[in-house]
Amino acid sequence: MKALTIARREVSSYFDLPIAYVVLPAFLILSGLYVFVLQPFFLVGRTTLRPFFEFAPFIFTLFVPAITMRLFAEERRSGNLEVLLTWPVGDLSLVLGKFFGAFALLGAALLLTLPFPLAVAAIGDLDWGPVLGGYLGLMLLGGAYLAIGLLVSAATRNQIIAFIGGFALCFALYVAGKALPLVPPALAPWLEAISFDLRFAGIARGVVDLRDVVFFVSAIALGLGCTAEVLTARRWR
Amino acid sequence: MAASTRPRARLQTACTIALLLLGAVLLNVLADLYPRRLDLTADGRHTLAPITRELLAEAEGPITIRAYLPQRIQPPYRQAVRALRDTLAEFEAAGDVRLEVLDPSDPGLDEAARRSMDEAAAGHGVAAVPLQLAEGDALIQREVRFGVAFLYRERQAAVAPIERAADAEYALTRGLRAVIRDETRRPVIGVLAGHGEPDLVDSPLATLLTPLGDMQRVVLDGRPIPATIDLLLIVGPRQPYGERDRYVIDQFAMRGRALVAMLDYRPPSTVFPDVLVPLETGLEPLLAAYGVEIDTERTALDRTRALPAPVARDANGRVITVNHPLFPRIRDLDPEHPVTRGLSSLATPLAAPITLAVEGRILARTGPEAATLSGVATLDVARYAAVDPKRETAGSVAVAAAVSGRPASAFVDRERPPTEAAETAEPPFTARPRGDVRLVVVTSGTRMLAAGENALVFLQNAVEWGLTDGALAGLRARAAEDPPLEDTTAATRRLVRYGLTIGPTALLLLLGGLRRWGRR
Repeated sequence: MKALTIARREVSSYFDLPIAYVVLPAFLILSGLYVFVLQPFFLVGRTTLRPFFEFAPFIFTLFVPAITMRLFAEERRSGNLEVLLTWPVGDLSLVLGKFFGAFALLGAALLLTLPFPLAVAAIGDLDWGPVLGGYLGLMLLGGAYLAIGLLVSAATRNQIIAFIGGFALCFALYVAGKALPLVPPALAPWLEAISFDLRFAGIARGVVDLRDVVFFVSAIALGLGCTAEVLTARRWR
Repeated sequence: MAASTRPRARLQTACTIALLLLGAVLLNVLADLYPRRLDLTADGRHTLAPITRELLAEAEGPITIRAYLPQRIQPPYRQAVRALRDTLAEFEAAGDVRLEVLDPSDPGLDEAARRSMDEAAAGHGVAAVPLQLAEGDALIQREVRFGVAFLYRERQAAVAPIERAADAEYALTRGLRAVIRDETRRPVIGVLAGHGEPDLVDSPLATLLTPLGDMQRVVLDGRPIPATIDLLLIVGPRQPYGERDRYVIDQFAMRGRALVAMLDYRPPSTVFPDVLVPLETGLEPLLAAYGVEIDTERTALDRTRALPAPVARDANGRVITVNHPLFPRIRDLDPEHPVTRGLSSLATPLAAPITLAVEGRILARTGPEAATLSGVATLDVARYAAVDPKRETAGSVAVAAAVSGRPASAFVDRERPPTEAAETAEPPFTARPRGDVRLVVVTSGTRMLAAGENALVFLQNAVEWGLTDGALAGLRARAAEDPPLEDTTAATRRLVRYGLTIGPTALLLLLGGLRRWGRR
């Protein structure tokens, strides 16, 4: 319940500050540009949103750290974190509140891309299964990126470092699957197992595999749990 | 106090993080042990197809499936191995299947175990494939058994390795069908050579056709086509076949065999690639005798459904891609016939119109706004921008057809050309086929095969239909291209392009503005 109160406060602050009006348009314009202008969408002439679901995981590696960078780093820098930690709210509730707030912003960003499939469905026989899968996959992938971004943000007081650290980690997990042919063979199965991109690609094909869902959910849980632990550890400093 | 608590707190943090990590790993291991999948696609393309379930239900006893799947394999096979494993797990859940998944690349295997596995796999007909495998930090090239063996009663069939994950169910269902319906003899696909046809036997296309049967070049030298050939594939001949060649092909068909002909009627000149040379393949009288008439003088054209083709040149002489009316995208495909079932579109460059004089199926037809043009001699796209009333006839035409039946020989009322191969005894003339002849004709050949994945699926389906009943053809089409967009005007395209780039942001800003205004 406390987490939800914090989440509501976070969402409200996103739309009170310019964040939502900078980050969201950047995501929406870049996605629209990439899928419908830079890609030969009409030349290829296929009723599919595959280009969007190929581009979104990459743009998320920039977009998500931009949301999470301020969540704890800014609170630490301004000294608000110490005040927050004195509230009668558990560390996990605080982390969950911040997470759900950011997750709602991510959801809003994806909601605003719904005109993409609607427009494509109007000019072709769109299979909604892979579209549903793609959106579910993006929510899971975005959630995992958010959890990582939160962890990095909680570990530093500098927003720039939080952004770069979050981006580096998210990007590394994103390209892990693409780098398989380049890494030492012994590493390949491990990289394949933790590759966000490969896991997401399965769901975006329209197949919701329990293994992929469990992977993303456990990545979110692990990220949030570690963030809560980082905050707990701060109490003892 | 603080000094003594801090190390304890750090230890507690470390322990909690370790426990979280362990929990996450355990959860993933559990999910791996009990995989569950939900297929959201409209045509259930990632779920076992009805034909697969039907075959599993036909079995009157357990089917043993021994899958030799190297786990330490490198791309492109890595995803295919996972897809094979997942599909096999679904086979196991859907029927009386005993599944054994073996890893021939397992470094833990001792020499004796490796040899024993190798011999067993060879006995099942699973091929040894040269693969890149991970050993320690190094990649090594080694021949490893890779494939799936189906064992049922005394029958066995092996499935060759696949490269694309999307082909997993098709390949496995083929193996399953071979043992259940006792189709364990591998058919032979004869590929005509010697008249300027591309060498398909040594091309990448062979990897698509060899799962259907062994490929063998057939050079027409006057002698009868070997009796072992089940289907004759004729793709893009550049020199016309003579009377004796026609007779040999006719007598092959009269054995109740299948013909798949993908013919070019306007190949490019060898000197000037933009110039198109009219060509007669020599097969036209033969095909006409079987009821498939081809108007070699005319070429199909569609300005509203033109495909991009690399045919024009810029000021520097570089080839550029432009939408070309002679490269029509066919959307009117027979949804019921095994050759085109599941395909949403097909590119048929420079196709000639077909008319059926017997009962058969039109597989592909140009769009309602299409036309035909006589005497096409150049690829220059500017020539086709406007309607030429003298040479152009409006109307949709067929460009691919399939016929199945027992037509009379094309030589039943004609003099039969003598053989020049004196050492070969001429077999007796057959006037009527002993079984059904299956014939697939498409009037776009080599350019069509280069024009997209659906053309390859068409070819595979045509061969499959010629060799069997084509029941598995729909399975393959499920993995092919997405459906095409509808015809749109330039204004609609602009609206979609810029509306979707700016629209969502405008909506967000509007909502933000309303929120602020409401607060005030």
